[in-house]
Amino acid sequence: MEAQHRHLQSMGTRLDMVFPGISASKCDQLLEQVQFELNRLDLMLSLYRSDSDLSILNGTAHAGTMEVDQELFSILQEVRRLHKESGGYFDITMKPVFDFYTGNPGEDQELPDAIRRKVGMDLLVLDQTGISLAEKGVVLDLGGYGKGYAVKRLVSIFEASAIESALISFGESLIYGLGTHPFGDSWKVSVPVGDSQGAVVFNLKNEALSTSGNSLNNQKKFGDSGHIVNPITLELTSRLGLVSVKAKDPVRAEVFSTALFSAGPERSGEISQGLSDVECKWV
Amino acid sequence: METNRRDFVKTFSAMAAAGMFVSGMPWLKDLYAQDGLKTVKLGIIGPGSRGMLLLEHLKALPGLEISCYCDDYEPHFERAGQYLGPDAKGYRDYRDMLEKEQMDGVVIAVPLHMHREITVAALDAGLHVFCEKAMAQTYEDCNEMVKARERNNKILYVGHQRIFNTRILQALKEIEDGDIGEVTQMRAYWHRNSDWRRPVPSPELERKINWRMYHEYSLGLMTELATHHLQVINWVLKDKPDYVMGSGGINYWKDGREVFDNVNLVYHYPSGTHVIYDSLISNKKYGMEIQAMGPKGTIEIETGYRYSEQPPPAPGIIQLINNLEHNIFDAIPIGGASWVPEDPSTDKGTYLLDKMLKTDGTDVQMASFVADVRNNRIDPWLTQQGFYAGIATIMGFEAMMNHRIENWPEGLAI
Repeated sequence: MEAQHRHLQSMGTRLDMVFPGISASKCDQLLEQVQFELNRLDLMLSLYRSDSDLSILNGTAHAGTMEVDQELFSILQEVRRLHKESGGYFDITMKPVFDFYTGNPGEDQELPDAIRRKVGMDLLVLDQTGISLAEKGVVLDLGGYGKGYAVKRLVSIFEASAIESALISFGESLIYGLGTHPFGDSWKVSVPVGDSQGAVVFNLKNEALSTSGNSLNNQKKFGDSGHIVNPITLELTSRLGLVSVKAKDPVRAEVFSTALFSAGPERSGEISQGLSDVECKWV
Repeated sequence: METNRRDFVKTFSAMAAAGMFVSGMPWLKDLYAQDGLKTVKLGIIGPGSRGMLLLEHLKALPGLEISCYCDDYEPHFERAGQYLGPDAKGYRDYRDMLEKEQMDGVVIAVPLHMHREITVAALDAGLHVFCEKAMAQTYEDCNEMVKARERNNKILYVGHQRIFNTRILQALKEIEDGDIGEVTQMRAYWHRNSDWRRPVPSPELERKINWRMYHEYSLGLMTELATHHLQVINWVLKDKPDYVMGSGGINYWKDGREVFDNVNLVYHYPSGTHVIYDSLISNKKYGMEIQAMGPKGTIEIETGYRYSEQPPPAPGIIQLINNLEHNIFDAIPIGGASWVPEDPSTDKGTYLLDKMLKTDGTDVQMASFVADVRNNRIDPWLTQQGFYAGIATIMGFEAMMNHRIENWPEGLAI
């Protein structure tokens, strides 16, 4: 069977899309819609653009309540719900902490109080009139959410175009299987286990799989500091390993893989027990 | 050599037919036309090691007679006489040769400090000139050579053979086509691990044989190596540097030489693009390279590779496509944490040309010079390339010697 493959660069990583059994021209039409949608999301959510809605919000909402687009408002409402559901392990205000540690690698420095004051989801205030930030210097960063949201939007586009089968890979860490592989009852993907030859296989059917963690390879190179901030301890999560989260909703897969990795195997078990739509596996 | 030349003609013709070259390269036409050739008569001044290599390339060309040669170093004089045979007349003073011989042009491959004097004399004698690189030792010398070419309306080639190298032409084409986006930085280096000396039969010949070691005759690594890369860089950036800063020194070969054994420079171009250049002769791990970098990719011009800023698809995606094409349903290895540190790309790159020719462009350059002499085809652009590379080379030397930012000398332009 012929398959169309397209890729592009977005949100700092590579997006691959594979469509079995459709024509090249149909695929190119889809690609145009995908590019348009990703550009739109970039304009709303990117921190790399000073003119994005989120950048403007970060720069001005400490001075007073700001009205934002309904879509961004809904996203931030959802982010607050996810923060609670994750026991506080999903937190979009951690960028100053991450920047502090990565800007001072290998140094055993105490996180300054000035930074501690700028983090915490309680600093994000939502009310009927709009959004405000309780401190100057608070940075809302939707990096741990955006890819999931983008995939959710792309799935809507594909379904509206009567695409029944597709595999989407966003930087390899977020995979979505739309429908099934043409010769199977799902899309089958495997996540490698540590340094070994082994792998854990997941079957995806209209489901997403997100994987977060510190690989052995990265830890060998960069010591054990890690790259994910634990919002409870305000330290980088140094644990070695990966956690994969499967969910119907790519946003929830993306968000909970990062949050549960920070929480660790034991605490993540407690949190995921309350999440009926999320399947979590440490690999 | 004949095989190489045939290879070149074949490949060159195929590339030209496919429109693969940068537009505006008129010197790459009719190089090897065979019909009704008018014999070109050339002399050579300075048949040392480089001069003999040029002679070998020239002798392979049809419709060419090397009628005379000149060298004031006896072993080179004798070797050239034996190589060219009794029909070629030998001289020990170039002025005698220019006065007595009837010819169309000369090939000059003497030490750097003599380039200006001999080139100007040859042009004023009504001859076309091929002069080895670098153009000359001082700004004034370079300028005098250009003025002599202009007042006599003759051909002046400077020996930058990379202009005639198919791999480099392909790199230029891809850069001009925007394949790597706007060039935002260039880096170049040339590293060797040797003392760069030649054996001296007796001590009084030290400065004559090892002239590259002494400031009286040479600017060292700048005029011997860097000038090649600076020519290519000017060509890529379609401009000349407006200033340069740098530092050089002798930190390993402390054997009485005067020229630096390591040079380190940053050139600035009017577009805001910088070129980072270094050369040393105490380590050869990194060899030589010219890297052109842009937002879409990188081209390594010397080794002929291109690299995309967009990483290739994950092996799992390739496997999935392959499985679908063969109606196979199987697990694909694709999931993993996406965060990667900012370590160098592991992309192995792809070749600029499928076929790498065994030529650095020198043979093509000699063929081009002879064809231009035959047709009296004067291309000031070629002189300009040598001139601008020569000036940029001297700027780097002056910046290092004087510990100052060296600006492009006012008024020097073609």
